[in-house]
Amino acid sequence: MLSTDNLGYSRGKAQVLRGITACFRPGEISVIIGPNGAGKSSLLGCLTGELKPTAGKIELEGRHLASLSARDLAARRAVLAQSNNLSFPFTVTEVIALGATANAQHLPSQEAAPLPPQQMIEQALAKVGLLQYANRLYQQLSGGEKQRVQLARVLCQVWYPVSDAGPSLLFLDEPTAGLDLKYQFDLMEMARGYAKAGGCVIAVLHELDMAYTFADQLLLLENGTIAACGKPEELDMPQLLKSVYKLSDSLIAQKAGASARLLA
Amino acid sequence: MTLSQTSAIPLKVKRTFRQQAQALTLPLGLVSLFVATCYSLTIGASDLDAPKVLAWGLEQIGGPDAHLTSLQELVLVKIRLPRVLLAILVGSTLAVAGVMMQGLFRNPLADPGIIGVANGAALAAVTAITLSSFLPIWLMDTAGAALLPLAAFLGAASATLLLYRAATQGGQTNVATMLLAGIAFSAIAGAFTGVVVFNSNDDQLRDFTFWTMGSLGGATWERIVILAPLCLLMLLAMPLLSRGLNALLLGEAEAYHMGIDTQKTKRAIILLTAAGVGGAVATAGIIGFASIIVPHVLRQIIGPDHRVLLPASAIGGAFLLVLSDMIARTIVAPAELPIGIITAIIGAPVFLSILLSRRRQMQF
Repeated sequence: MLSTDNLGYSRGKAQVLRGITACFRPGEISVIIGPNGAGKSSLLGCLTGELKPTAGKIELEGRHLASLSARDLAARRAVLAQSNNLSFPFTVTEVIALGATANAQHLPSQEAAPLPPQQMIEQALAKVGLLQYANRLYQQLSGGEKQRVQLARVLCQVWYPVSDAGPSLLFLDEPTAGLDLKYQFDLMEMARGYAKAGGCVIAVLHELDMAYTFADQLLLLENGTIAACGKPEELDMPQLLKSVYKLSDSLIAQKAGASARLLA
Repeated sequence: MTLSQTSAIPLKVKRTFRQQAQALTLPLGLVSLFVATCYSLTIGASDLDAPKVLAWGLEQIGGPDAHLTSLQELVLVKIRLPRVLLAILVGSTLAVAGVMMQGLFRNPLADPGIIGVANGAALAAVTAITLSSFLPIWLMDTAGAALLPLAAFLGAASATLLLYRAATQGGQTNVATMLLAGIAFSAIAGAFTGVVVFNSNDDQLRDFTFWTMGSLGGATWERIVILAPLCLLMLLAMPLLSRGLNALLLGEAEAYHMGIDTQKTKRAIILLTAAGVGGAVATAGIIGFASIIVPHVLRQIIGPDHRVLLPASAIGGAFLLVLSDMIARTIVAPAELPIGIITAIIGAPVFLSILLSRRRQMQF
């Protein structure tokens, strides 16, 4: 389990996060939402170990996150970042291989033999539906395809939702950006499958309906603090959206109307 | 996308041209380098053909007498052999330094000669030459040989560090900033070098010309002794750094996520490339573009995976310089061109073509 206690983070004089106390459980998808500049990416950065908190602490299975080396962390968690640029001519397979061979420490929890990297790469390719692109150059793919290749790479890094070291963590930073609707759902279904198998999924999402549909735990950030946290169905969403996103009643009605017409 | 954790579909990604090339590059490269080296030893005023050179080589490892005259042997041992060995060392060092620097900057255009690293080394070297006339003779006798490479190393290291600081913000390196800062830095280093040159005597002036043009003409066994350990250090570090370099290509944050100690890796790259480029500049002056042609051509064939690219570049760089040196020595014989001119003539168009293709892909 990954937990934060009174976490704070400052960049220069600006306090980006303060008083964040939260818990991210295995078997669940935790979704972080909030308006632009609410501190979503900073929170994700702190949770992945990339940013060092300036106050409070983060613990992974009772151990301080800061005490874990980059190598140890990499065996436990993988991060799908927002950027997917690569200025060198890697093939799709080679990019995914970077994840599959990223660490030799990530091993299955039971006595089962670890999957050979080549098979892992092929299965990951099949999962993201890009098997026919295996030998294509990464640079020549579209934005959405690149995103799916990166997902396959990240999946290979933490292939076993529960490894011999405990539950694995999968971080997704706005994973659905740039994807077709079908792939958005496929990706979130895959994340759900990963959580159901015992992994811990933590995602930052922009699309509120997607967040509402897939989150087991919803974490709403506002100005660097937690405005609300809990199961989506237990939260008073319309009221929260109005107060945090500053949406007017008429806007919410309009959006609901548009969705209804689209699906009618 | 499918949801199944295991897949029953027979998945077999077929072996590509690139994978086959990867397997062939090293043996083919070594053979070509050997042939080029032997051929290079035969070129020159003194009559020494390939069978004689090979026979001499066999004699050294316990074969029968090669029947070379003492003059032929002198030419081979004192002039041609150090020269071709220096070409091999400088070539591998520059190409490997280029690959490492391009990985660090995440950009195939980073060349120590273009972005000012070599110029920094040259400035420090030139300053050292001038200052050395003020040093007491006993100090020059004991530490004189180490002074130049040390100065060149410090110059290269500070230039790399300065440039990296200037061009990198939040883990992302801006190409335009890198190239522009490199030009500015080259200009500053050039200006200071000019000042030093202005205040120097005729002997020093001759030395300076050598730094800025790049030449293997001054090859001696002493210079090889200086460069060999630095080159060896880089070659030995290659397997330790290749995984980190691969991950760094995705971005610094991504490399960290994948378990790479990015700070340590970056520091190692900066120190190693500075030592290599410093050593190369101290022994052969500024040879431009060698660090850009070899990695670029090899990446097209075997891909950017550093586990293969680094050793292949070491061999490719050596091959390029041995070849360029042969051209430099024969094209205007009995005179010779500085080798930097040859590499620039081959390299500048390659540089331009990368720049243009990247502009098309809007990847700046």
